[in-house]
Amino acid sequence: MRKFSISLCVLLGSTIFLPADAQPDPLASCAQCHALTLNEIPEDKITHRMERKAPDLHYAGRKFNQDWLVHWLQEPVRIRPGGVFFGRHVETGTDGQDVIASDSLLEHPSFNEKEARDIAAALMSKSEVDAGLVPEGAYAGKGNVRFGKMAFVKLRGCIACHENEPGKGGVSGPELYTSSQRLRPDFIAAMIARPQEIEPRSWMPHLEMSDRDVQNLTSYLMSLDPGEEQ
Amino acid sequence: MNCTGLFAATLLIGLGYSAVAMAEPVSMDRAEKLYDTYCAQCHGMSRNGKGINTVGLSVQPRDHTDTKAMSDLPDDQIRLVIEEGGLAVNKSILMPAWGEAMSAEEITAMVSYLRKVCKCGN
Repeated sequence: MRKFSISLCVLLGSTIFLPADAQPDPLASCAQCHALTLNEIPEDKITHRMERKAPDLHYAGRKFNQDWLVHWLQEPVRIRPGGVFFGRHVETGTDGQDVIASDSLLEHPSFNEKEARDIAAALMSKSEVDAGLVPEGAYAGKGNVRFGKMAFVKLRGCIACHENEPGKGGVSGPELYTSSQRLRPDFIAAMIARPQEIEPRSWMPHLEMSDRDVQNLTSYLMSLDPGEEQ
Repeated sequence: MNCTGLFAATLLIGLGYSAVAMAEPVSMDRAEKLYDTYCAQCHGMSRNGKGINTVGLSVQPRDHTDTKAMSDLPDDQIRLVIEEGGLAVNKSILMPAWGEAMSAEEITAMVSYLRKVCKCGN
């Protein structure tokens, strides 16, 4: 009887002292694969990039559109055709040509609508990057789409690493045919202009572009509609 | 050598040592890792110019195992291409500039690593 009373007290006590509005951390499962704070990223960023399981999310709030996150988390599709680091998924054919071993790529888990909304809301609070690097208004909204496409496909070589439509373009970088839905336009412009400052040791090279080129490229990417042939 | 000369020589040696000590030496292992990170996506895990991004590229990347072709490239030109990209040597824009992704010491190590890959050390 005494043992039962103690157990009941402990149980009641734990209930009483647990804050009524306590909620589990919606990002708890994300933290298993993603770095959610700058502190989690080691000094050796090259090794980190090669070995991490998933992209860093410490500045997700400055990068992603919340509506896209809510939708994508419920029905995730692959963004990086070659995986988070292509080097872990390459196999070389008999002709010496490297290809991505698709069966080695990991799938992202899916969530129900409430979970997706909670995770997306929590991610939007992640902004651990110098605000000056992704300023509001980085994209002025009036670049030339045609010139932007020319820069992407020919003049600046973006297509070597990124797809601008499914199956067309490089596979080591994230596909960009859904970037208008996925990414904030200010982030796109800032990442084109100063990639190594936003993500030190990124695979995205710094191409010394004029602001006009940056605006044109951003306008082109914002014009891409994954439902339409470009 | 008088006292002044001895002092000057000591100072120069000291300064020279400091300059060397300040620059982090980059090992061949590290250069290989950098190659796998930045270069292999186009130049291939086998260093043969057949990386995952090359299907459909208008200009094919250089085969770094091609001893003869690589022998024709001076170190300075290789360094310039890595740092400033293909356009700096009138080659393709598809070779990007990695000067902000890699330090000067890492690029120097990369040049040495490429000489090892092509078996064409200067």
